[in-house]
Amino acid sequence: MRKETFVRRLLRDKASPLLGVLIVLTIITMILSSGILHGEQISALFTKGFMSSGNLLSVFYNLVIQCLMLCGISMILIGGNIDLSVAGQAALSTMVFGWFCKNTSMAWPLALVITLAMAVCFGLINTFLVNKLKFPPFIATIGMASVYRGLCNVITTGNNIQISRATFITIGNTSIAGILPATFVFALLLIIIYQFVLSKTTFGRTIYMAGGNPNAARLSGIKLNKVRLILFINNSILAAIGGLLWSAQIKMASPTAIISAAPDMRVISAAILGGVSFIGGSGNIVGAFIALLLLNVFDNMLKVLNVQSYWNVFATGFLLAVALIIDYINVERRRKSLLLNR
Amino acid sequence: MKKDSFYIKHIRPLIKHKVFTLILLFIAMVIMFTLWSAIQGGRFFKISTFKNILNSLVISAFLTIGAGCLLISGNIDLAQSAIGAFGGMVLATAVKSWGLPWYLGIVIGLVLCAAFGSLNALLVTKFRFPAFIGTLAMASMARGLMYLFSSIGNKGLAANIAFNNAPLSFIGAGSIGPIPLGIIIMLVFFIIYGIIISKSRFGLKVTLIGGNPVAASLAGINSTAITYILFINSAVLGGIAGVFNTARLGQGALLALQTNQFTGITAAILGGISFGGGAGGMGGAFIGLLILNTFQIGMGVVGVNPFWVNVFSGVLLLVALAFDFIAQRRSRSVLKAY
Repeated sequence: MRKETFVRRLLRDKASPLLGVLIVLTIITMILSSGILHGEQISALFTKGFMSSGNLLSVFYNLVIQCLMLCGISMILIGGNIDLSVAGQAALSTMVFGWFCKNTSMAWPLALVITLAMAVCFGLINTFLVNKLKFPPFIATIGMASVYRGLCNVITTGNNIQISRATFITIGNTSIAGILPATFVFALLLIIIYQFVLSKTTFGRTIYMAGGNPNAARLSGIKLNKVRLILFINNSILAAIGGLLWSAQIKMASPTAIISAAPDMRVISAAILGGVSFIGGSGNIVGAFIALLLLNVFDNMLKVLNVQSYWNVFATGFLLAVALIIDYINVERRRKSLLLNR
Repeated sequence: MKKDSFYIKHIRPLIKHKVFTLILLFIAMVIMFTLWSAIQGGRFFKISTFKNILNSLVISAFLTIGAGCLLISGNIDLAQSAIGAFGGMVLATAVKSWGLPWYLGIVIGLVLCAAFGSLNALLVTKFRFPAFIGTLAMASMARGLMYLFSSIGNKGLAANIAFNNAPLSFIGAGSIGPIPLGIIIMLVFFIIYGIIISKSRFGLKVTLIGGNPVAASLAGINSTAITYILFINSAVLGGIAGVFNTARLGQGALLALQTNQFTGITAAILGGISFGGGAGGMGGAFIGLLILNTFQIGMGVVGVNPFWVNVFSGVLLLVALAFDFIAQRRSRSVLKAY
């Protein structure tokens, strides 16, 4: 009985059509990229093209920073706020870390602690602007994003910093069986933990309430400012860790790499695609994660199929629009069936 | 007594007005840069500087007008700069690869931009996308199509398209008398849109939709039609910005307007258009834009490291918001006193 309701709930979940699309897309990519249509063995399905270990590794490496940001951003969006400065924060964090590693002889964990402390400050600044000065989060964080990005360039006049701490680099480049990076496993763990916090703890439900109906939340004794403080600081720390893991992977602190990859926009798109409401109050991290996988698999599909890069840009937007239309049709159908039942 | 009433009637609303604080900020900024450059032995306060400033804001002005109107109605368009870049590229392709006259190129470009705008509106009104994410998707599609257009005359490879066209370079860099053509067109647009938004029935409807959508629909306002008009308007104005960009550079550039995704929105909000919709006007948006650009050019004149300029413009945005906040709190405390 219990199992049946679980299955039914799964089918009704907003993310399940996305999961279906993801699976279909992955299979199509596997078939097209492995070349079995051109006379390769069936076994090539799992060894060549998309499923080749090199390609999977690169997909997972790209996902790490996005997953970390996803946890932070989803929580913030559900709580009814937004932070557009995550990429800037991640970039500045890696720059500070790189600067300490290069110009001082301190152990890298110490530099890590300093960087994280600074990330907490970023969160505090953002919260201060929104809580105390009542700026709209959207515009306050755009302003701060410009500050963070500018500071990155001020530190090194626009150059990258090589990082040569052996242990740190090893952490970024260890992988299980040559396919699954340790950092990605860490990111997956975080997603599970954050999903648990969000759906099973009192604080998690508080976030939903703060985002869904701020007035009711305030009247029932929830301290909105405190919730926002925790969410912003949490987000900043996750962004900083994400940036550091990225720099461990590429062995240097490179703000331009992070900013031009625009992980923040992709993460926000994924969150909303995955059912997180843009104005707060609904959604979950697992759904957002599935959408994130979908966007990345799609991106990678175009890459392994050697599609011209401009089609890539076009198709990403197109996919997003199609997914949203599917979501709309679903919602409409459900609403109609509700009306009929009445 | 008479003097008092004149003060209450005319002067006080002026001082209380949001735009007034912004003008003060602008004046303070000009004074600061004048003194700063004087210390360094240079001169900030001269006509050519202000001409530079106005010239630099032509392209972002069109973005600001479009974004501002949409923001007042409670919507947002993140695709505007991408659509504009697309329109500019269509113009370059039409002139270079298809050999069409310049005016036809502009018309085709703007019509395609309008098509993008109506698609935006369709997604937001019919399919009820959140505007933020729907237009983000459209932005990516517009950029992709821009690459496609640029590859037409280039053997399938996306690249900048340079062209030689006298009327277009006149649009980009020519001037009527001492005043550059771009500045004149921009000011005319600001005035027309300012009148439409603050004086016409249509502008009133736009503001009402942004301020209270439910009340607007109960009052019989067709918000779908207005949303369509505003999205198309925003896209076409983006297209005009793209046309100016192409005309100035003499080429359809792949990176055109890349850094301008938030310029229009930022300037509009800085100029007192509220983010949730329902308040603000074009005068404020113009001053907001003026402040942003004066700051950047002023920083260049006094010779600040360009890396710091980026940091400072973020701080400037926050300072301007703080001004707004203080003004609001003052008016709230006045209300409480009553």
